[in-house]
Amino acid sequence: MSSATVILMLAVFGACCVEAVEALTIVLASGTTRGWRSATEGTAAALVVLGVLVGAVGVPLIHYVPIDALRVLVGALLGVLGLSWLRKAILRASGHKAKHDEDAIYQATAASLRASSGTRGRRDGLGFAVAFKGVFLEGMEVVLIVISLGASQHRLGYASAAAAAAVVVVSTVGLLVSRQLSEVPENTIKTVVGIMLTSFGLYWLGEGAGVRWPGSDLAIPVLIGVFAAVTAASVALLKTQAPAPARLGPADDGGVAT
Amino acid sequence: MSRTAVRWARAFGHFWWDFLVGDTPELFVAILALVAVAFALRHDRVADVVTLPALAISALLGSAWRGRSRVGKRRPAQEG
Repeated sequence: MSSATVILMLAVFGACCVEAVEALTIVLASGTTRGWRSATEGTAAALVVLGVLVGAVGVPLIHYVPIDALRVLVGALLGVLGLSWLRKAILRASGHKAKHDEDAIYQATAASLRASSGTRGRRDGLGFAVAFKGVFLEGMEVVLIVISLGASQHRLGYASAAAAAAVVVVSTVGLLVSRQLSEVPENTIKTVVGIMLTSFGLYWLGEGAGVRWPGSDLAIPVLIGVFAAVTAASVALLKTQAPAPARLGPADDGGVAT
Repeated sequence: MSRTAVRWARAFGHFWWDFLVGDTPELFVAILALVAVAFALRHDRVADVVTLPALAISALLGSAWRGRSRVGKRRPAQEG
C-alpha cells in the first residue's frame, strides 16, 4: 500500500467521522423523540441509497471516463470542498465563527420533533424522514469524497472501506455512550481533513491538466505541509482581530457544506 | 409524476449550487481559475508547481479574510 493510499484512507476516514458524528446527532434526536424503529429504518435506508450511489456513479467513472479528465474534475471538486472546510476551520479556530455545537443541534432537533404532531406508533413517518434526510445529506459529502479520491487513484474499494470503518466506529461509540458525541474535536478533524482534501485536489487537478509534480506522489505530503503551515499562520493572524466571544452567534451547520 | 420529477430536479440543482458555490462564490471562481492556469502552464514545470499552490493559498486567505467578523460591524451572514 503506497503512502498516497494511506493518506487517502486517512482523509476519507476523517471526513466520514465528522459527517457521521453530525448524522448521529440527528438520528439520536429522532430516535429518542419519535421512536427507535423509525430512526433505525431511516438510517438504514439512507445508508443503502448512499452505498448504491457509490457503486452506480463511482464504478462507471473509473471504467469509462478518461483518467486525466476524471482527475481534473475530482481535483476541482475536492478543491472546492477542501478550501471551504479549511476556511470554516480557520474562522472557527480564530474565534470569528461559533464552533459546531452538537449539544445545541441535538436540543433544537429534539425540541422541533417533540413539537411536531403525528402518530408516534411503531412506524413514525416524521422520525423516518428526519433520520433519512440527516444521514443522506451528511453522507452525500462523504460519497463525493469517496468517489473523488477513490476514482482518481483507482482505489474505490479502499476509500469505501475507510468510510465504512468510520461509520462503524462512530455508530459503536454512539451506541455505547447512548448520546451525541459532543466531545469529538470536530474542528480539529475538519481542519486536518480540509488540508488533506485541498492538497489532494490541487495535486489531481494539476496531474489531470498535464502538470508534472516534482517527486510525483511525494508532492502530496509536501502540499499537506504547505497548507498546514498556511492554516496555522492564518489562524494566528485572524486571532489578533477576533471579536469578543459573546458577539458570535450559534453555528448554523445545516446544508451540505459543513 | 412530473411534479415529483421537477421537485427532485430542483433539489438536485440546489444541492450542487450549495455544494459548489454556496456562501463562498470566490472559492468556486478560484477553482475555475486554477483549472485554467493548470492547463495554461502545464508545459512550464517551475511556474505550474509554484503558481498552483500560490493561487490556492491566495484564494483561501482572501476568503477567510472576507469571512472574518469585524469588531463594531455587523457580523456576516451565518454560514453552514
